Amino acid sequence: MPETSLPPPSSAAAPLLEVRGLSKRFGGVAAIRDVDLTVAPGSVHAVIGPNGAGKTSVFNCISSFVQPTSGTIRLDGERIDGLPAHVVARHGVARTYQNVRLFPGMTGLENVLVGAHRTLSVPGWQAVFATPRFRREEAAAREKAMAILEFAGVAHHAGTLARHLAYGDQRRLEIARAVVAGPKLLLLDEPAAGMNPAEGAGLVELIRRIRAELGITVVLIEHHMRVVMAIADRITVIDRGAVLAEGTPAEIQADDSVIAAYLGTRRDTPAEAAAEDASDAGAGAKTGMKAVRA
Amino acid sequence: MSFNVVTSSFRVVRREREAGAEALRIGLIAGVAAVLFCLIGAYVALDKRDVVEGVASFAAVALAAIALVAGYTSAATANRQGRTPRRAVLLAGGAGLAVGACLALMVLATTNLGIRTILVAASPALVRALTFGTTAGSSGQIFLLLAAGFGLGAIGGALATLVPERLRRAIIRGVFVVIFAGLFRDVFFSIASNLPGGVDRMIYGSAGIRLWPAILLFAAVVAWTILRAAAGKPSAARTGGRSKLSIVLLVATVLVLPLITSDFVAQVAMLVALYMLMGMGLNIELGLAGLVDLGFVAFFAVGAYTVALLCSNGPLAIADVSFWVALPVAIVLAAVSGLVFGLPVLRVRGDYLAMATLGLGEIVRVLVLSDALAPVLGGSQGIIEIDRPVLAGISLNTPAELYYLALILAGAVAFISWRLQHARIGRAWLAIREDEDVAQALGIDPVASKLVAYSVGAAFAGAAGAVFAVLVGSVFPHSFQLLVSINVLAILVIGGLGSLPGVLVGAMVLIGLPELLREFGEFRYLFYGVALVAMMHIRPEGLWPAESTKREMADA
Amino acid sequence: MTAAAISAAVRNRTADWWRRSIWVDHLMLAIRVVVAVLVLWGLAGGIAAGTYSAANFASFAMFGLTIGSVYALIALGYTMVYGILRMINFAHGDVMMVGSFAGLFAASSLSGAGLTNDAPLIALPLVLAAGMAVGAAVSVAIERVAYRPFLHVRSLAPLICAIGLSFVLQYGARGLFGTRNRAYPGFGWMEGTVQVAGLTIPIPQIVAFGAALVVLAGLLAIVRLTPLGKAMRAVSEDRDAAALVGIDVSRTIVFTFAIGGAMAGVAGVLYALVFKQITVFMGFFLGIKGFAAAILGGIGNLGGAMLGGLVLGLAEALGPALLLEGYGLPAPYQLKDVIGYGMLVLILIFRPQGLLGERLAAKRA
Repeated sequence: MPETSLPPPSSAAAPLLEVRGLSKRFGGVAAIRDVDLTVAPGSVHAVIGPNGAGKTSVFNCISSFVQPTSGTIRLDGERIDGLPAHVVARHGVARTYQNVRLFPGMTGLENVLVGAHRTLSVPGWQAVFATPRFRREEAAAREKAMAILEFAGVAHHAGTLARHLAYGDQRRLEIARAVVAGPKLLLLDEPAAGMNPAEGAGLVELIRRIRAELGITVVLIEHHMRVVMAIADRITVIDRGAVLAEGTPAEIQADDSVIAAYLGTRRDTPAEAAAEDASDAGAGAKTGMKAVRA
Repeated sequence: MSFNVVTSSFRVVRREREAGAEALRIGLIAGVAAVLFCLIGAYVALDKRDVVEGVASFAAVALAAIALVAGYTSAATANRQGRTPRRAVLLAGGAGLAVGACLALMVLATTNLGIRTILVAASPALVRALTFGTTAGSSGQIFLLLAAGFGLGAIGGALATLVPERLRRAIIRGVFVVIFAGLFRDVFFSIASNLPGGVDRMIYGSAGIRLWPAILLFAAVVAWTILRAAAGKPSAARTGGRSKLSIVLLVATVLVLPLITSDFVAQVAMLVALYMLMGMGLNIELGLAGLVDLGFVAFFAVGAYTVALLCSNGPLAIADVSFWVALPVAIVLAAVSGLVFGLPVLRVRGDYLAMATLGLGEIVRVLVLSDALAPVLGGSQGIIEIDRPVLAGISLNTPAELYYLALILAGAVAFISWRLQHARIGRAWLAIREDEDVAQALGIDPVASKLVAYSVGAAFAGAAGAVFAVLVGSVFPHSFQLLVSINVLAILVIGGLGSLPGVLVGAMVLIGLPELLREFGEFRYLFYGVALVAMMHIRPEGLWPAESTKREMADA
Repeated sequence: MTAAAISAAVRNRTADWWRRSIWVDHLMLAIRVVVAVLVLWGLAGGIAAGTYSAANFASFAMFGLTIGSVYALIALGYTMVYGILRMINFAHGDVMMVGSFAGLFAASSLSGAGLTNDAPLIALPLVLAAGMAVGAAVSVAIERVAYRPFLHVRSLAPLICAIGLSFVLQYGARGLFGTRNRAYPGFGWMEGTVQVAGLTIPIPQIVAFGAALVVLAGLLAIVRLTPLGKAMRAVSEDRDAAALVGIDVSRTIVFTFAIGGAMAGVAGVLYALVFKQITVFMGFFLGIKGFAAAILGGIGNLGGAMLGGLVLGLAEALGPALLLEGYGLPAPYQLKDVIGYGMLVLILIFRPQGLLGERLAAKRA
């Protein structure tokens, strides 16, 4: 069984992210119902569940891409639900997307510089006259951006248009763009999707370093069980829009309802399922869903 | 726009038919185009301007070009499908014949059916011009049209199949240079009149270039092109050097042009500079931030009316201050009105925004024109007697002097645009243009950023309006029609969205050329429409694309 | 619920709005308040001024419904194309103009045969058919040039092509037909007026209104009942999925444009029936009005387009008398268009999704 590098954070510390009773309805359909999610600062928290369970909807609510129908979201104790997306971002929430969404017509460096937008403050008229303050800030921003590109391992693509990057590099660039402004919370939506095992391992390493070196709390949605078990301190399982279980990886792997609903009944132990390849896990999830619904 | 996100795998591809059917199709399309060209009155109007004095009018050249291109395209298609050159030329002739037949049918309809009550341009004058002055109703003129069509089509076909590539390029280039030299007689004639010895009269007649100079020019261009091609391909370094060289040449032309030519040309140059100023304003909105603004003319009007009210001797003036005081006021007022108008409409996107801004622009025009505001703005009478700007005791009166005023402003605006583009706000604009949702999730306030773009663009338009007011010396509501906004939009699209040199090129092509071809006047917007459509199909990145677009092309 | 509970709930909601709102919301609220006050002030003044009698207002309203039904027909074209492509056909107003001219020529030749005067009930449908046919043909041509080549990408190209085509149509028509106003021939007894409940109503207004309703009903029947309508709704939901289940997407889009163009052609003829005169430049401005009607009703919503057209027509007809009169402005009817265009902006300020729409204007297609 893969070990976690840090002990689970104590529940006594004030949570960084606290979601209470979150619901989102589209028309008559409830995408998520009464979801609670508590993320301790400095932890890596995984959200898993079958396709269509509402995981991305939770992310969309947290980052204010959509407004929740009811429920509250607190970051560091402060309400952020219902705020415009850019205000949420300024509170320190950054995210990536299930289908990578870079600025395709901009270079790697430009993408990251846009990510640094909220850390820059010199007004536009100073740019017109290229005042010393503007030049200092701009130079510092470029340096920081290059450092982050280096950190994410895509520094050699600083001058390449984003659309011409390989898929894995696009994922890394998107993460670099998200962390350059130093958010408190990073939401990763299936970062390992479509990656081969080697790339997946590199990604696990990158996420570990984001937590350790940049001190950013990470919440990730992931189907690759190997990735989840390798880095998550805690796991929340969502099924059909509601929280099914919450706990450490060990607890989740031992949880009967998760095994029944998500990991599927055909496996002997959850640990085996964790060792399976992600596509298998996905297929297992689907059969599991069928079994439950039937 | 630079981003072409694939939204659907669905794509329609037209299947090419067999060469003969293609030739017929091309011929008929070209024939309809030729008939429309005649029936909208363009033929008769453009027949008044010669390209080669006494030999070929602009109208005849255009009509011949339609048949030639039809022949060329059909022959190229036949060639691609592996037909023999002889057959290809024959098909090309057939396509030309179809063009001729369409025209012949039109002539018959014009002379025999009274279609003139409906189609105002189907006049006897048109028939006379088309049939080389032969008497109406003769079968000879029909035959003549058919033969001319076939011949031109076949020549086009021969050019496509029989002539070797290098020579073909040289010939096409030669023809274009001669047409260019003939059409812009006014510019070249006034330049040549600076030379001693009556060179101007030797080369140019009263309407176009003379025959022998035209032939010599053609031969020279052909020879030079072939010789240069024979000297081998230019190296990469040289092409880089050449693009720098072409910028230097462009700038030099822009600087000295009004000095060495006539007042008329200076006047045209002045208009070009004015539209450049506006183009740079819209470039911030559309080129950088992706906001399609069709109410742009409203800010132009704000600038013009501000200067008019502040600098006029007329009864409506509220002050009589110097232009240099009024200019900043006009710019600030335009920027403020940008903020006020922008807020309600900037929350919507794309096509919606285009329509909303269009509505805003029209509201401003109707208000200015109304009796309700006439006591303040003069209604349809406008405001007259606006003072010219005075610089160091000299009143700027001539078109050339005002041209330099506009040019200096355009330069300043270009500099500001360039600096903004490469700063935090410029990156925010690009990000919003590429993907607004993601930009917002990165902490960019989309409404605030768009508002800044909108009001900076409005400020530039206000500056243009201010210059326009002193240039004309009066302002009237009819100067602020939607067409101005469309002009500026077309300049940007033709020049290349987001590209500063593109604005210059676009303004020269779309404002300068039609102004210089006065006969062209009433067809100018038709030409704009065709140019916009053609540009989107053939060269969507514009004549002088923005850096990022070029980079993209190079990468791809 | 007690008064205290209600006031607590209101306070809660206000506090929550205050927490989540930013400067944009505050400014928009201020703009809304200012606009609402201005409108109410004008309305109160207009009613108090008492320049017009109730009969005046009734005939204004009848006129408003007539022009409103023309707007509704134009709006349908915008809404249908938007529904299926999520794009606005910028040249749609000019399709109406071309349809109107086609109707003019049909009417002229019928009038030569004496048919328009003697048998207007036969002539008018023929004229309408000519307008519909040409409108549909031009609309399909627009689809071919401006939309089909760019279907697979998201870019400004279709919008710019459509703007270009709008100019080609306007100035092409100007060259072909000249700039002066063209008069429609009279349609016999349809030129008269009737007395209804003490009001004198011109018959063309009644005919135009009735014809518009018939055509609208026909369109609704097509969309609701035929396989083509089903295909249109499927394509508008998801183009790729529709293609997967065997719907000919390309053909469906062409039909959508054709129907929209035919509606515009009808609008052009009915407009001419009421106003007697047409010019080559009328399409553009009527097009904007039609668009305003479409978003007023909620773009993508057929019923909304009809409602929006009628509301806009009424607002334009009654607005100057009711609203601008209250401000004592000279010549308030000059500002009729300001009300029309102003509605467009006001909808965006107050209710971007329109009266019946659910889709937000701010959502990218």
